[in-house]
Amino acid sequence: MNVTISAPVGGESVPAAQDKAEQTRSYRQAQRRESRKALLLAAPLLLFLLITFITPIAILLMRSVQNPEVPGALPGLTQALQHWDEQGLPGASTYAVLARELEQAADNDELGTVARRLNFYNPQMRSLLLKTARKLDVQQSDDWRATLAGIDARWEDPQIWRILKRAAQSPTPDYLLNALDSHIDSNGEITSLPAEESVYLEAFSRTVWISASVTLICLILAYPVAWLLANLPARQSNRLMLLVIVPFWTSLLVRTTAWYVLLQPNGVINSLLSGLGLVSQPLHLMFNRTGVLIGMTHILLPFMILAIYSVMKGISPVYMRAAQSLGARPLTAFMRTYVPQTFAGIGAGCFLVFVLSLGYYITPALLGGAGDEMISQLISVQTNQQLNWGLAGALSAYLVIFTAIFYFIFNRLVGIDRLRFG
Amino acid sequence: MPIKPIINILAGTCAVATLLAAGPLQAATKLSVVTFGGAYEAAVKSAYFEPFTQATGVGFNLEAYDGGLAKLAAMVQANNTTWDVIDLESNDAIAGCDEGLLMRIDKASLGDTSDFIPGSISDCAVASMVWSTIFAYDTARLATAPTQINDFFDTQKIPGKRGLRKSPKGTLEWALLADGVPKEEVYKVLGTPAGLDRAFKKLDSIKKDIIWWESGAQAPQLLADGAVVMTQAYPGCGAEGFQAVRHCLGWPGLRLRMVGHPQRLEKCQGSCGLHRLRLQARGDFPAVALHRLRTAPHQGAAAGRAEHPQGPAYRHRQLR
Repeated sequence: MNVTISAPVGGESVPAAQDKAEQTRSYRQAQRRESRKALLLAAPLLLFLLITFITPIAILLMRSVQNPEVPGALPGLTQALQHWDEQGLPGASTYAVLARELEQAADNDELGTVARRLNFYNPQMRSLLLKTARKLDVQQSDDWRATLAGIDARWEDPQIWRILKRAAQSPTPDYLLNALDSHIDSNGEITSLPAEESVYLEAFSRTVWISASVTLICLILAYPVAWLLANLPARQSNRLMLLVIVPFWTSLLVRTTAWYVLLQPNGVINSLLSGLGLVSQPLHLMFNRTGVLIGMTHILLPFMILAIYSVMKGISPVYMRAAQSLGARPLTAFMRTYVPQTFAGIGAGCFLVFVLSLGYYITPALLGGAGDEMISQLISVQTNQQLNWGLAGALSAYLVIFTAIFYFIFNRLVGIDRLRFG
Repeated sequence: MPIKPIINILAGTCAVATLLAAGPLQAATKLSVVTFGGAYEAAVKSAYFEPFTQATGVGFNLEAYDGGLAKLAAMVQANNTTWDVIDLESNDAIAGCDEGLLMRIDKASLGDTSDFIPGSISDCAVASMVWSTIFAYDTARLATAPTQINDFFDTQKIPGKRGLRKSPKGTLEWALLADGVPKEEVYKVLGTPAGLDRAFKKLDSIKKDIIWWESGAQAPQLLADGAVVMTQAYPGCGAEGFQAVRHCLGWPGLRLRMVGHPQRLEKCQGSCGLHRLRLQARGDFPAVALHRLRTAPHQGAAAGRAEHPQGPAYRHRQLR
């Protein structure tokens, strides 16, 4: 019987396979059409992201290796210095090129930009360049080396020339090194800055430390709340949820300012405490780490609560009952059957809170003190005050890289697809 | 990308006197002026801007900022400068001029400048006011009144937090003065690496008690909040700021006093420490401003005169 049946099946198998291939093809075509349509629908958003988000970030990150100031304004000098071996002083022709191009740059209003760039290497460069350019205005010379040395003796210092040569290299590793508190010394080796001049490594570790602390505090505070939300009757749970959601919807700046009012020495909390006679001196709750942690925890708490809650909501109570009916005590049942099922939510919440903390700016700026500067604040100083956009780009690059690495690790451990809310 | 000097885009500012003589400009025109905001803005508004509007019909869009060249640099790079006149600290005015962010002034158009403070006119900027940095304290809060700069750095004598501007300007000078450097030698000492180290070491001695502020309006606020027992402040903004704080918060009992000694730090001699009005788009406005600086009384700018005889009024008299 089997044989007789198998024969017709075998006979039909070729057209069936063709049919199937045909079907698959048309299915794939349809799918491609659909995805093209979907892409078209998403195109405005993608374009928007490309223009307003990805491109500016890419430009900023590119700045961390670009060094356009000196090559742009002093092209001849840049070329001349490439042939200089950094031993002794450069040749007389290089001096002549420098003199000519300094004057040109001053006339084109480009000298200030060059001076600012060089000042990042050495704080006397600006005054040296501007002074030289001013005096060059009226000078003619056959021996530029003597003339320049006459204007300022520092032009006979090989160190100054080495700085010029470093600044004439583009792309440059210097910003990326500076962002890690190191630089290339006169021997061409990477060396770290002395401890009292180091800023950024400490700021990076402080940023990670603050972010980790905030994440931990958020987790401890959020877990019971999320459990309550997931296990209360719907009516009460919805009301409680409102308390979580409303702050979540409120502007970050408003909430930070509210903490400012609450925490200050004459503020609500201190008045209350001293009114109750609990403290005699106002507690220092702000302009220090305490203020930063309180403010950031409060602002990031809803992310943690919602992430854990969304997972807890889907956990059936039967597991706990089963564990208890099998003899586990409530605590053991909770720890061994319930908690492991919430790991995905914990992971998602910790990831969100940690990554958001890394870039925090306003809250530590308002509530923190001298020892609580996070990396974003230093990036802002370099961007807005020092105009050192190269260094700002380098610091941002490290922040992006660190966040990406963290994302990768998290994705491996927990899986990013588990991120969801409510 | 090379920075494009504004001078190319906005040529022809030298016709100051002519424009003025020609009568009111088109009423629709508005100048975009950027100042440090707060009480200072109110002062310059009544002293310079409003009279200018009355005389010429040209209005103003006022914008406030905390100083620095970043935003201006970004605007110039993008070739989209929306500011016309900007208030800058002298070092920023010099740097901005060198970098081609600011337009050069035709000095001849300023007329007779013989009664100006030496150093008040530079290539791209004209001084619009002279300022000094003082420190202020709440008389109700401090039992021992600080009388000199040493008291600011003496946490034994007067315990508590101190507010300082988050900037080396003024702060480093104070540290050296408090460390015993004579006034005349401050900048000589500060010009050496050893002097810088000395200033930072002195600052380190009160490091844990410093609260850094960034915008001028924060200083009186910190005092009023009780977050600091004394703070560095701008006298002009401070004077009005303190009044404003008293009014706004409804604490008439709050009494703040400025300590005069560091005011005589003479940051305001020569060109250092001058605020400068930058002229960018139109020469006519700064000319009027300068005109008023020299001839007219400054009701607005001189606020706080009664309380502080060495305050803004005194300094503006020098400029006139």
